[in-house]
Amino acid sequence: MGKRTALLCALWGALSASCGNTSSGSGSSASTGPGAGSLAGTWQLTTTPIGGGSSVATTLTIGQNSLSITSPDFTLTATRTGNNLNFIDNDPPSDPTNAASLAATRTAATFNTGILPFDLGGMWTMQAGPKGGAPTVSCTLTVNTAEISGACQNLSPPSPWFTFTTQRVDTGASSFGDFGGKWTNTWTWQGTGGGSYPCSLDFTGNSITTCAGGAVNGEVVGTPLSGITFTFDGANTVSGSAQGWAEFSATR
Amino acid sequence: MNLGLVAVLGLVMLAGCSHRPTPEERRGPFLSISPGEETNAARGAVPPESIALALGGLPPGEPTRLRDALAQSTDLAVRSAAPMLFDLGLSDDDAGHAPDPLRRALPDLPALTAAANVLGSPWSAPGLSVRLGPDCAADAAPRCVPLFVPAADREPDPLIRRGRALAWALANAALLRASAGAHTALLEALRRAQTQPSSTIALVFGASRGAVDEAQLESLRDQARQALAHLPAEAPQRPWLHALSGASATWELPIALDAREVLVIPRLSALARLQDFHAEVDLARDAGPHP
Repeated sequence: MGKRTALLCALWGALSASCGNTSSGSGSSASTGPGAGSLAGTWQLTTTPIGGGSSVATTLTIGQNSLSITSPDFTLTATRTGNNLNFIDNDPPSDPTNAASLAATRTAATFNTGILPFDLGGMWTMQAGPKGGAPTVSCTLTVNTAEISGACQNLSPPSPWFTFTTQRVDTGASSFGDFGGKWTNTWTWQGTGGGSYPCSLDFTGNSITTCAGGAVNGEVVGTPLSGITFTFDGANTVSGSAQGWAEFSATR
Repeated sequence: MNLGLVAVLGLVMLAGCSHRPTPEERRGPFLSISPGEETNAARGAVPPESIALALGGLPPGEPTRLRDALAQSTDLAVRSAAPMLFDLGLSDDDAGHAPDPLRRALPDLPALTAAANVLGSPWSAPGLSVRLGPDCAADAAPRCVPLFVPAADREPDPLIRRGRALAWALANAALLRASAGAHTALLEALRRAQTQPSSTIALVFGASRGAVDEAQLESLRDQARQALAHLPAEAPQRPWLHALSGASATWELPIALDAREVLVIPRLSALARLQDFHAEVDLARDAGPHP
């Protein structure tokens, strides 16, 4: 699970960026290559798991409101039709009986995601669980230009899981559109052993940087958003780190 | 906690260079790049030889520093597993989130990742295969390109671009050339830079082969074995600790360096900001005596 968490944390970062071509000893400038100006395309992703170990190649295809991931450890497909979004996760890929699914519906609102080819603005309700079975988790999410907040709870047995709020503290130029600027996220794990963990999120230019921190002994503690760095070179490469341990890079 | 699901939800919710080219342009080595089968790559074990190579590309005292971090991390794990026997000095609120001493070893992890990739030829990914060789003559690959080229990150051919990304450690390395008198100073300046957590540098080599201090390495191997004994079977750091426990002292790069060359390899996490990598290399280069 840690491996996938690192990958998906990386992807969370990867689903944000901009255009500008890198060159030796200078900053970003013009875009080049297919799909420059958007992260859409097929990416060859290299990741290392939290805690070290061998890296692995994963194929990631990003389309307008669609995503598919093929990794040795799992496959994930996400498709969106209108205001309905569906995720299917097979873990491992060879065992479709172990699939999980997530279904979401949205009341739309305006939110510019920049080069992210996903329309995220609005209020979402989600349910997740084993594919074909009863949902085990229920969530809500609100995305607007001033605040991003959400909450999830377990359904069987019913119990709170986590909540978070993310409030904008400053605006800034970013290829992530309305994400641009600085935000403060407070992640709260509920129930026994829970707690609240603030974390700064900085979307500037082609990069994302979150608060310091990350995994302890290979396990995520505190906020899952800590220790993330992400940079898009504006052309065909993204790279960064997640949870302070795992590194990733992808080439389109 | 179902962290994978948390990450998925987070995803939905927030949804050269101073590789200043060498004065005398090298002819080789080369990367032969071929379309491969669309099979899914399997996750491999950490090659034990990559541990020695990583230690060879880090500052000489790194095995001792890593051993000390491992020892403290193991001690913390033991104490956390039996809190009734030890006074941890932690409140109930922060006992589960104490700083991990192994974090002090973080600069070593990019080195280990890079070393495994350096020794990875032939590299393979779904639909792609890449081989390192001294020349192109004996290989019928559709693409064969020099390993060291300026501005490789702007390659327009997608097959070459993907191939170079698969062999990322060597394909994005900076190859420097220094006079005999400046070689050691350049190495030291680069190694001072690479141990900074914010560095973009993973590995620095001043020779094609070498050996890690055997006494330091044995102490490190022993500490890795102790750490393994206290880790859960599913702990994610087990693969590289296992490789560390069996690491050999000698290492060798898959490419030749002459006595005046220095090879600098970037971190995987820095590949989208190679301009920062080359700036860091230039800074270290300018800090030492000029060649």
